[in-house]
Amino acid sequence: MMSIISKVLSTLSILQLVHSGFSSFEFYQLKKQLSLIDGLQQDITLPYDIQLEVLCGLLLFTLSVFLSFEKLKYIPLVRSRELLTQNQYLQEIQMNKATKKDNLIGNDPFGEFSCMPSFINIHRKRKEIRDYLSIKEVEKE
Amino acid sequence: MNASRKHFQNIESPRSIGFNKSRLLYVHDLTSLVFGCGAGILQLESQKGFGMFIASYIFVSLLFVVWICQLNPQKYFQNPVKDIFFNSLIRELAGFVMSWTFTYALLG
Repeated sequence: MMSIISKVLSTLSILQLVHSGFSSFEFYQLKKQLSLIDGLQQDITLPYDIQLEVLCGLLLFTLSVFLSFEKLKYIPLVRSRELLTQNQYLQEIQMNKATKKDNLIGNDPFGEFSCMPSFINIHRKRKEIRDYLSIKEVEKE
Repeated sequence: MNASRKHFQNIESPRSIGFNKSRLLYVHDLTSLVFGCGAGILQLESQKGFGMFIASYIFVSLLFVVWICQLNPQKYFQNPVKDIFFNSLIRELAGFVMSWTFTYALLG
């Protein structure tokens, strides 16, 4: 839901910025041409409505960036499949807190170290596969 | 025993640190580029443009602390003031000036 609001707001803010940019471009082109005529006031500034439109576009864009963040959710690998959340947008840096969610969802953050393929007993695995295949052949016969 | 317990309590997770920094950088990158475009559209010059950068940078950083860090930045960053306000300052200034001058030249 938040991401949809964020997308709508960012689209709106970009449209506002493009529109105010075009208005600003037209204004400065007109100012350049008018400056050629003598006797006209030279220190005219950008109209307030264009300035307000730019500020509004910038604020809306900032809001949309912040709304695009959602609270972190995790899918547990064990037990129920309900999403877990800690009501946080970021992850805590203390190791004992950072690994809390891994324990809750049943994830092993050091899996790449603890499950090393080179430590697998390859002879036992081959024996298991040979036994499995021999049983299959017997079943076929 | 106590010394080793204290030592283990102070261990920080590099994965979380990297994740939090990438989120902060994403917010700063996007906003500084768009605020630069805004400065260009308003045709700001010299000090006014840099003033707008400083104001926008502080505003976005404070909003990040309040909204995303939930007023607890020390939980998510090793050195909150340095990480949030100073680490990416030059990078964002470069992005801001680039989009500011580009838009200024395009519209002026």
